[in-house]
Amino acid sequence: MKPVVKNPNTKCLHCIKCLKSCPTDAISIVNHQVNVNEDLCIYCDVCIKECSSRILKVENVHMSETLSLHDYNVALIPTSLLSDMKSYEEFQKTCHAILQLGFDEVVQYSDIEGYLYKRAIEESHEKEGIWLTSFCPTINRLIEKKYPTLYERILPYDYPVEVAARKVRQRLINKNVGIYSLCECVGKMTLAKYPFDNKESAIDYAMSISHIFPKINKLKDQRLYPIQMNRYGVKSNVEDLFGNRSLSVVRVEGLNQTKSLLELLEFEDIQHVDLIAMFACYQGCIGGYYLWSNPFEGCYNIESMMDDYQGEIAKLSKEDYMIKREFNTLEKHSIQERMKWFSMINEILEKLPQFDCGACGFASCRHLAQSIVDGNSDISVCRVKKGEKQ
Amino acid sequence: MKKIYQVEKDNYEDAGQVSRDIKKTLKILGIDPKVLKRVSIACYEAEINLVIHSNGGTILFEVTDNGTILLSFDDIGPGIPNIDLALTPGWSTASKKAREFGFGAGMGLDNMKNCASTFQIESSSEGTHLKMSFV
Repeated sequence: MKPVVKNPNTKCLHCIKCLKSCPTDAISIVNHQVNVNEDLCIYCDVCIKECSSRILKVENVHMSETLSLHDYNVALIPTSLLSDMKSYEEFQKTCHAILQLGFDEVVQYSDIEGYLYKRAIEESHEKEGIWLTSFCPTINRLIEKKYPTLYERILPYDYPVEVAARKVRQRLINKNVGIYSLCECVGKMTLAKYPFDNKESAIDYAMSISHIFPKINKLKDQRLYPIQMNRYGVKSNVEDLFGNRSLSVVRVEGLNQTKSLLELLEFEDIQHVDLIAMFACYQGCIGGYYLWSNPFEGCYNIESMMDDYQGEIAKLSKEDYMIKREFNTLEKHSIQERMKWFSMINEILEKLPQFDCGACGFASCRHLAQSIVDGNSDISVCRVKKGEKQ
Repeated sequence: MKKIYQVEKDNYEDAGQVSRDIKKTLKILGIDPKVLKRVSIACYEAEINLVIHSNGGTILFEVTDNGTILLSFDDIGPGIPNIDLALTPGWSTASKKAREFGFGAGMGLDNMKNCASTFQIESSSEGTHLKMSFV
C-alpha cells in the first residue's frame, strides 16, 4: 500500500495545486502522472484536499474480505469521533451500528489518551528542556524529514491507538484477533501499514471514518452501545494540551504555524515552556480530514457533552507506552559529494527562468534542476524556455 | 561554497531570515543534525545582534571542501566598548525596542562561543568582526 494512491478512473488536470501545497515538496507530475516521493511524504492530507480532479486518495480496507480471516474482530474508535455527534446518545447509537458491521467488540481509547496527555505534561515538567508531543504522526514525520535537530526532543511515547491495540491483544491473547483502526485522518490511516518507529504495528487494518459511515448510517437504530469515554482524555483534546499557561504548555495547530514554531525552536528562540503540543490539523484530531464537521463546531460539540464522559483513566506502566525512537537518516553521501551535487543544481538553476511556475511538473525551478542532476528529467521540459525559443 | 548576505540595522521584521536560509542550505547538504543545531543557534544569535546593535553589515557563509562551516559577521560600527563585559552571560545593552520584540537577554555572545568550534571577535568604533567555525 502506498500512502497516497491515484484513482485510476480520473485524469490529472495538471492544476499543480498538489505541487504548490505539499509541505515537504514530495510531489512531481510527469506525463499527467502524479508521483509522490515516499521518502519525503509525511502523510498529511494537503494534496488530497487540494486536488482539483479528485485523483488522489488513500486506500481503504475492504472489510468483506478481511473480517472472516479472524475469529474475533475489534474496532478501535477515535475520541475525535465525538466531534461529529450532537449528543452522547447519538454517539452510543453510532458505536452500536459500528458493531453491526461485523465486529465482536468496539473499543475506545480516550482513557489511554488521557493517561498519556497527563504523563506528557508531568514528564516534560520534570525533565530539563523543551519537549514536543508525539501524538500526531504527520508532525513526527515532519520533524524527522525537515527538522532533524529537534528529533531527540519528541517525547518517546507511542501513539495512543497503538497502545490501545496492544492492550486488546494482551487481553485476548488466546484468540485470533483482527484489530481495525477507524481513522479520522490520513496520517493515522498510514500507521497500520507504515508504522513510524514501531517496527511492528499492533493494528491489522486501517479504514477511514468517511469510508464506513454510509454503511453505519444504514445500520443505526435505537440500540445503544455501552461505551464510556474518559473525561481527561477528551478534555485534553479541548483544553490541557491545547494551551494551558499554568502548565507551561504551548499548543500549535496547522502545518504552517507548526513549521514556523519548529524554525524558532531550532534557533532555541523559545526556552520558557516545558511542552509544545503540536497538531497538523486545526483543533487537533478533531480537524481530521475524514470527520465532516468543521473543527471549531466539532470542538463545541465535544465540550457541550462534557458531563457525559464518566469513564476512568487507564492505568499504564512505562512498558505499555514508552518506545525507543531511532533517527533514520536519509543521508548516505559524503559532504563533498553533496556539495558537488548542490553546485551542479545551482549551475542548472542559473539557466532556468526561476519563475517557479510549476508548469514542468516540479514544485520549483530548483526541484526541476535537482531532478535533472539526478538524471530523472531534462531541461527541455521547461515550458518557459520552450516559449522563449519560438 | 560561499554566500554573502546583507543585514539591515533595526529591521526586526526580517531578523532571522539569513539564518533560516543558511539552515535550509545546510539541511540540503545533509549536515549532521548535532552540528546543524550549533550552527543554527550561533548564526541566529549573531544575526539578531547585527540587527539590534550594529549599524548594519554583512554575513559571509562558507562551507569548505572538507565540510567545515565558516561564518563571518562584519558590521560598520559602532563597535563593542568592552568585549570581556559583552561576553559575560546576562550582560545586555539592548534597547527597549529590542527587548519588546523578545530579543536582548544578554546571553548572545556567550552562547555563540559555546556553540562554535573556534570563536574570534575584534571590535573598534569602525566595526565589529566576528568569525566562527564549526566542525
